[in-house]
Amino acid sequence: MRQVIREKLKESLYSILPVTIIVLVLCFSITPVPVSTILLFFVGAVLLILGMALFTLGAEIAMTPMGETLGAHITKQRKLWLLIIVGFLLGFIITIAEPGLQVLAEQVATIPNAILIGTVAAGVGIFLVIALLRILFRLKLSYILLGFYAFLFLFSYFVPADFLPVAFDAGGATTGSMTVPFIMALGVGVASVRSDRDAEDDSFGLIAVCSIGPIVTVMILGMIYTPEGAYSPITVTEFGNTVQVWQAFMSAFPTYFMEVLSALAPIAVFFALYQVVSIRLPKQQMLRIIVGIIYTYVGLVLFLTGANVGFLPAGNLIGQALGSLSYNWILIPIGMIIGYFIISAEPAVYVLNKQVEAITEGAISQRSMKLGLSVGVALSLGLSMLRILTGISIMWILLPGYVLAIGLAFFVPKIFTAIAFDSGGVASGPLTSTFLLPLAMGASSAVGGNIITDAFGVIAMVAMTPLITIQIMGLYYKIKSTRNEDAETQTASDIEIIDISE
Amino acid sequence: MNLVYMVTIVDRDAAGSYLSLFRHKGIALALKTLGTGTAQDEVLKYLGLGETEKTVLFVILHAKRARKILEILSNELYLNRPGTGIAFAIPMRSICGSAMLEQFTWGFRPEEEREMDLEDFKMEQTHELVIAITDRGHIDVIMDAARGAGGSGGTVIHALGTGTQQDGKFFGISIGQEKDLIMMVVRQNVKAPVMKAVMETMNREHPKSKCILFSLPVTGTAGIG
Repeated sequence: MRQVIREKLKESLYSILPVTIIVLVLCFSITPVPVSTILLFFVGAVLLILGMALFTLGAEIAMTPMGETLGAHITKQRKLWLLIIVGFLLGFIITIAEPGLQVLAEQVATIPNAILIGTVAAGVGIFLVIALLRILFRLKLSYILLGFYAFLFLFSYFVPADFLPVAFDAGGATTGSMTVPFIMALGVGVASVRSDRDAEDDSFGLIAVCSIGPIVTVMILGMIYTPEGAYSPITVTEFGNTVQVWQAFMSAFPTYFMEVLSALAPIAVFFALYQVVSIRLPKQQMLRIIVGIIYTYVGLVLFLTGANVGFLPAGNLIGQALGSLSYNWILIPIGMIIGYFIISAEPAVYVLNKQVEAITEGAISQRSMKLGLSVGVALSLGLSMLRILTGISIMWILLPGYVLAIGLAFFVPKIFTAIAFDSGGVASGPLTSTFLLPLAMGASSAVGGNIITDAFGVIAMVAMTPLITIQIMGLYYKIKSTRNEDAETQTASDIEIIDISE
Repeated sequence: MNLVYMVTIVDRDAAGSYLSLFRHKGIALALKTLGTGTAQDEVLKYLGLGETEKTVLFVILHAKRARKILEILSNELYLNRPGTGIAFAIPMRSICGSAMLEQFTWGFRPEEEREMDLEDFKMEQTHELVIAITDRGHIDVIMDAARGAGGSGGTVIHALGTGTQQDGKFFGISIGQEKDLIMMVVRQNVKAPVMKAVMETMNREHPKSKCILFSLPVTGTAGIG
């Protein structure tokens, strides 16, 4: 027992410590921030470490088994209508409850919240069904992605420019830390009952297709309502003493108790109904899933509270401080370093890496996934900071980025394409919106840029670059493995059966 | 000639050092898959803290080398410390192709053989490997039954059953039966009771689980108390 706990704590410590150290070093050297902000950040980091350990444990014993059981079950039944209905309902209810979407709805002031949330959820539902049907009818993922993204970019031409970053952010924002492990497990479950060759390749790719849904729906809404971009500015409060700092966390807990509850409850209720009606897992397994849900719940509450109360103000102030330096080009390298290390602190990333390692039987290790994602996010932060300093349009980066990513899809092994496009949705998690986005907003306001067009779009960037880096990793694997095949010499085939004497 | 099929089950993080040991010793082929160690304790099982992630390695090698490797495993890589992993060898009956045979015995150095021939070479047979294959989701029941009859831990590998009539097509994809393969190394004297207990429990509680149970001889172990 102690081994598992120690293991989990060590993992989450290693994921969160690097970015904590970087921030502390920054704060003690070139970016002066109030002492209370540092204290908030420090307490936040401790909550993050505890939350992450609990969340990953919960994901392993509850979220993943639930998704896998459901996925396996709807496939085993071999009923098309069941797959479509369950797929749509799942996509719809988990999105409607997603905290990331609520935040997004607040940001887009001119579209009524209920309409935005409803349509985006329907979008995710429809695209989840498309993703499932794709597997069933054996359409290539790369063709589907090519089709939808081509449509998306043509479409974006008619959408108000101010609105584009928000629309692209929506794709990353709706696939949050609760939905990602669940949808991913659903895909693995669907693949797990298949005995044909492509099963492994198709284990991933659901999130990839699902992430398109919100972008399309938000763009359509953008055309109907012609909104002006708006955002809620960040206010940083200073605290005079340590008790007030702790009070800040305590007063935030209830918010996240409710938020996480509303995100987790639909999945749990849906699964419970399904369990009663149809699957009937043994009691022991159900008990474990319930315990796992509690872990996930407590873990995510701790994590989100720590991130929102502790990390958000620090991110914003550091961004401002860096942006107002005379040598503010330093935003680019510092952004890249933060990006490189912050990605391993995203809870969903851990789940993805673990899943990838398990499905590929260790061929794509957690370590290489981590490296691919880190490099990807470092790149995207570099580009985002460049955008903040220069104000170039996001389309100048997104369009070539996606062209490259989809082009690569035709050259790399299928499973890498699926994993890469999944990791786009995975990489942009709660830390991106509570630390990276405020950092970008702070920097943008300090250099006097347009926050709407320059700072927003960070999430979209973080969701885009991993598509490229993970696929490049796939290309490298492909080249390496063909070389190995060449090197092996074929032994003469003989079919004599030799009995081995005892 | 005397070949064995050696199975090594170790903590997932440590798998790398075992693989490099095998490579270093000139072992030609290693198959690797992921498994799960079963929980030891009721309460821990429910808390999700009991299961351990394992890597399972399969290699084919000469029996005498296997004994040497097992010795190295238990001394140098601490397999003798409980919980870190186990290794055992299953004797092979035949192999197809003389080239294959050569490949698996190729790394075997003559001086090593001579050195070991001096000792009275005899691999101890104290344990047996019990393998249970069932429809997925019955691990807990099987392990509880096995433990009750004197068995200890087990390792689970998820697998798909194929080739039966129940295989079906669902549009473009084929659907197989989800299975669990459970491996338990038990002392020879408890093998019969363990198998009996598992079969009885499964017949009584889950008659439709299509449980297959069989045992294989084991020559030489490491890490098993």
